[in-house]
Amino acid sequence: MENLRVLLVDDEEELVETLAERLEIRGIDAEAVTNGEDALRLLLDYTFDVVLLDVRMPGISGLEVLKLIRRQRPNTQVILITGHGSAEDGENGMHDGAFDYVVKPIDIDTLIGKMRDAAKKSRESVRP
Amino acid sequence: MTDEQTRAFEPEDLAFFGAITAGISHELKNVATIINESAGLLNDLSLGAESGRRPLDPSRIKKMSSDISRNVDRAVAILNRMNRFAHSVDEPRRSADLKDILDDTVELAKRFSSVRGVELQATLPEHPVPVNTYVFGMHRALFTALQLIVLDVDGVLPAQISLSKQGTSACVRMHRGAWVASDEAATRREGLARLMGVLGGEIRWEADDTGRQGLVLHVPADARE
Repeated sequence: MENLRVLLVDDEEELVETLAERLEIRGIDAEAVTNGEDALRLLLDYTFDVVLLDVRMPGISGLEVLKLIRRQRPNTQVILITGHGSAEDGENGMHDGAFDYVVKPIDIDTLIGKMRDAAKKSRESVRP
Repeated sequence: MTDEQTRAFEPEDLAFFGAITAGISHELKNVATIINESAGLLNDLSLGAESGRRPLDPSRIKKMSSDISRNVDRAVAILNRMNRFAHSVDEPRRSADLKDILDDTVELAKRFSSVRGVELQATLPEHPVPVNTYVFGMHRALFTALQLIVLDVDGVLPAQISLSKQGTSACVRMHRGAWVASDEAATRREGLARLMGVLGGEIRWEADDTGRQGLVLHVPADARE
């Protein structure tokens, strides 16, 4: 598979910046933003294989951003990040069209595995 | 405080406790996640240096170390607030600084408000504002007032919160914009009026100097001060 291109969205700036650097070390092209508005703006101009999206953020919530991405970029897959002990937010998000979810703290290898599966689906859906 | 007064807090106390602890656990999980990623990045950088792929950049290591320290401090501050909040039920009435109670409540409510797009801007006096009160009940009254100002006001303006002493009362002011009427808002208003009554205070629905609607909580100051 070609290099993955992912967009990280979480209001914890240190988290997305550090995670982006760890993904870059592993050869994944990662862009980080700290709110849903910036994510939607970037998605108007750029294509990403996967969006990693925090469920609960100030401003537009992760689940609202998910619904807008599904409309704006139906081929882009979304993986949700949830901070809750229960998987309820993640399951709700999958009901609304998320590809999968991860629970904080994030295991990088699990995350990358899910990102690769999501990217495969993204690219298959755009293939003629 | 009489048994009857204490019982007045019981029906929704657990829901309030749940809302506060959910916010705290969310914040702590974020801190743990940042520390986890920072530790993971340090490991990645060490492995890169060991294998000769990338030299270690001391300034990068210094930044990672400072990120971890800052987040440990953040976790300690959250835990200190949580501890003070947990001990607020210890005594039915005691002398306390309303400034500290308000400061803790605002901090504990920040996640609740920020996910709803509302910033809480508190201006607190430098001097203490002593009250003799049921501290848990006061936390709950202040949190209910914050819920009102966040949920029952139109728009995304920040909420202005201040505290001052006026004669024999301490006054907590919260203002944001125009009230929006709803059944839920009416229930919250009734609940807050009841809580303030039990605490020996009162609530007034007043606009501020700039015309923004809001509320003022009058709390009896500690007579011994």
